[in-house]
Order: sequence, then structure tokens, then C-alpha cells
Amino acid sequence: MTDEGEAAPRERALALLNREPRDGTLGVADILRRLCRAATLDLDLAGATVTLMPDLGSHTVAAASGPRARHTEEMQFDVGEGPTREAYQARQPVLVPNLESVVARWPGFTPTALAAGMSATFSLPLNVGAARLGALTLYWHRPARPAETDLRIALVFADLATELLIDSCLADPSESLEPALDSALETQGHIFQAQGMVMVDLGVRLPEALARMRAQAFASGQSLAALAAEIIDGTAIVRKDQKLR
Amino acid sequence: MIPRAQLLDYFVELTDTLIDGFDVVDFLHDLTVKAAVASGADAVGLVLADHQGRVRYMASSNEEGKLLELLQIQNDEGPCLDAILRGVPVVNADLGRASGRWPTFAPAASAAGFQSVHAFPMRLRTQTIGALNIFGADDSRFDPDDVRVVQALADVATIAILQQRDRSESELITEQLQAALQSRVTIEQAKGALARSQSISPSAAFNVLLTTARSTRQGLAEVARSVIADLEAPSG
Repeated sequence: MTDEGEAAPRERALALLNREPRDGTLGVADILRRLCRAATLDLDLAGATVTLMPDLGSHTVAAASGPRARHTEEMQFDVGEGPTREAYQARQPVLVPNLESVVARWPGFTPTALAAGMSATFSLPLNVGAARLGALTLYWHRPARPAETDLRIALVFADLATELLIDSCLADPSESLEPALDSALETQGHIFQAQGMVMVDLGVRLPEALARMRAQAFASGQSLAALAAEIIDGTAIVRKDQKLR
Repeated sequence: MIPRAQLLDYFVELTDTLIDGFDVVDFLHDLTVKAAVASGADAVGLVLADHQGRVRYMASSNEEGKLLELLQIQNDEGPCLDAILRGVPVVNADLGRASGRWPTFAPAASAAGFQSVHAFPMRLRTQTIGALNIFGADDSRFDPDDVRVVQALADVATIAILQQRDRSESELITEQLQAALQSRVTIEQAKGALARSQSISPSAAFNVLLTTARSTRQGLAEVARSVIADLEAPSG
């Protein structure tokens, strides 16, 4: 609960992310790819992917640590089943320590995943309440029962990915996003209340409402929590033309 | 403490809900209301700790309970934080004499009219996932039986969140705690959206959600999602 305890895992994840080389692709795809690679390295994975799912019927594998992970992830959507879809539907993480044990659950996906060398998977939905952005899906070479520390690390990477996807609502597609150490999405309840208000006030969807709040808070040098309190008591209005830094 | 027969009814109701399938935030809200009646408390609050150790408000029996939790979260001190950190109950703490222990929280809670506080950790084997907090306007003392009953209620809350038994501790905490936290966020989003759209206060909006959930026999989070779907701009 101290600042040190909170900063350390995020700081670490950001450092790992920043150590990954850029490859010339632009916008959020590049940083998400580096996030996938950083997670793969840190958790000793076979691979990781970030899949965007605006709804259950459509998806884009926005980033992958490598081609094998990307292929495995895409296969889920070819057969209409798998950890990412399930995590998305259930609105909670889906951890499968041994893919061999779920052949009955995913008869289309599991044999091909195993054949591709994937033995375990963990899919973390990237949500902000009702706003479902997609999922971060991790794959292991061997059956894996991740230790508590590894589960927390995975959640920290998921938090980072969520934050990036929110901010990308307002970003120029050619801009590269660089999360700052102190720009973590705050979690106090009233922030999300304010998000609902901004959604109605501006007539935008939830992710954009939050992105505009973050941009405005940054521009005015306030914490998101402080801006949210002002939105709720009516002393601040989020402007539709607010640009991301 | 209320009569044993009534207490028994409460535990039966709570476990029936667990078996039938339920909305976790709704359940926790109901539990804090029952805990308030059972213990004679003036306010009861419940908080959870997330994967980064951040304490997050989940439910309360009334507005005062919510404010007392937020006070602790915002100032990073208080009985529920102590209960989470140490994994042991804080019992019979007198707020009038606790400003050494909680220099910001204790005077503020006293000024708000509260005198006694008890905090019970929500534990699963080696980990504490949150705390159930009892606040009294008078110097209400808990005897060992009272402590056992309220700890049992806290334990029921833990089970509610971490229901599946064939998972490892860490897996349960990750999957189901995340689900519970996201449900809470959804409810906050719906409160805000409804408040703006109907020009009512967020707490009035919460009551609308609660009433709708009861009358349509749906979970709170489900109702919240429907409300948001109705009020959110279409995609594309």
C-alpha cells in the first residue's frame, strides 16, 4: 500500500518495455508489441498477444511477441473458441495451467495449440468496468502454475496495456505512445463515476470519456482523482476538443 | 448482537445466495447491511486489496460507511488498512483515543460522530484480500462471541468472492478478485451515467440500480451494464 510497493512493479514493467527495440511501426501497435515481448521475457513465455475485441463478433490481433503466438491467437477466432474469447465473455481472467486438460472445453482450439507448442495459457481481459477493450493473452511452452508473483506481474502488464489502449483513443495514429511512470490509471471509485458522467455529457463511448479525462487532468496538472471530484460536483467540465499531450 | 435465531436466518440466507449464483457486489452490499443489523453497528464498510496492494472500496451498509472507508483509503491509514496489512482483527478500538495510531482518520471519524471501530480481515489461508469494518456511534464493545460472529461474516464474504474450490489460492485471487473489482467499476460508471442522464444524485442513481436489480431479479452489475448500453453512444 505504500507508494514504493506500487511503483516498483510498474516501474519494472516499463523498464523492460523500454528495453525492447522499436521496429519502425507507428502508434499503439509498436508499444503493444514491445509490451508483448517484455512480458514474454519476464515471465519466460512461449509468447504473448494483445487482441482488440470491440465486440464478440470482431477482433484484431493488434500485437504479438512473435509469429507463433500471433498464429495461435488467430486460430482461436478461426474456430470460434479459446481462452481470449472466454476471458472476454466472462469478463475475468482465464487461467489454464495445462491445455491438455481442456480438450473437451475447446476441441477445435486445443489440439492445434498443443501442436504449435503451447501447453498453458492465461488470458487477461483488458477492461475498465463495462468498457471491454480486448485481452492480453499469454502462452507457455510447458504446463505452468504461475506463482503469485508472476500472476501479479501479468496483471501489471495488463494494466499497462489497458492504459495504452485508453490513451490511444485520442492519439494520432502516427504518434508513438510512451507511458510515464506516474501516469498509471488511478483506481478510486469516483473516477469511474465521473467517467459515466462524461460519457453522457459528451455523447462519447466509455474509453474515449476516460481518455479525455486523463488528457485534461494531465493538461491542468491535476490528478485524475481530483478532476473526477470536480466533474462530480460540477466545478469542472471535460471539453470535447481536449487533445492528448 | 441480535438473537441467535435471527443470526441463523442471516447465515442461511447468505449461503443460499452463494449456492444459487449471484452478483458479487450485490451480495457484498447485502452482507454489509446484515452485518450492521447483526452487530448493532451504525455503519459497516467492506474493502478489497487489489494485485498492486491498493485498497478499493466495494460495499457499505450506508453512506457513512462508504465515507469512512474512503477516508481511510485517501489518507492511507485506518483500522481496515491495519487489518489487511496484519491479517488480524482490530477489535474495540476507541476512536477518541486513537489519534496516535490514526492521526488523520481517528479525529475525522470522531468528528463525524463515530466512537468505536472494529475491522476484520478477509483471509484465504495465507493471504488477506480485504476487510469488513464495523463502526459504532457509541463505545460498543465486542465480546469474544461477537468477534467470532463478525469474523464468520467476513469469512462468508471471502468465500463469496473466491468460490471455486479446485483452484490454487493465487489463481482464485487473480480471476475472481478481478471480476469483483471490475463489477464495482461498472456500477460506478452506471451511477455516473444515470445521474447525469436523469439529473439525480449518484446515490439516488445507485438506489435506482438496486431497485431495478431486485424487481427484475438480475444482478447489480448486469443492470449496470444494461443502463450503460442504453446511454452509451453507438460504436463506429
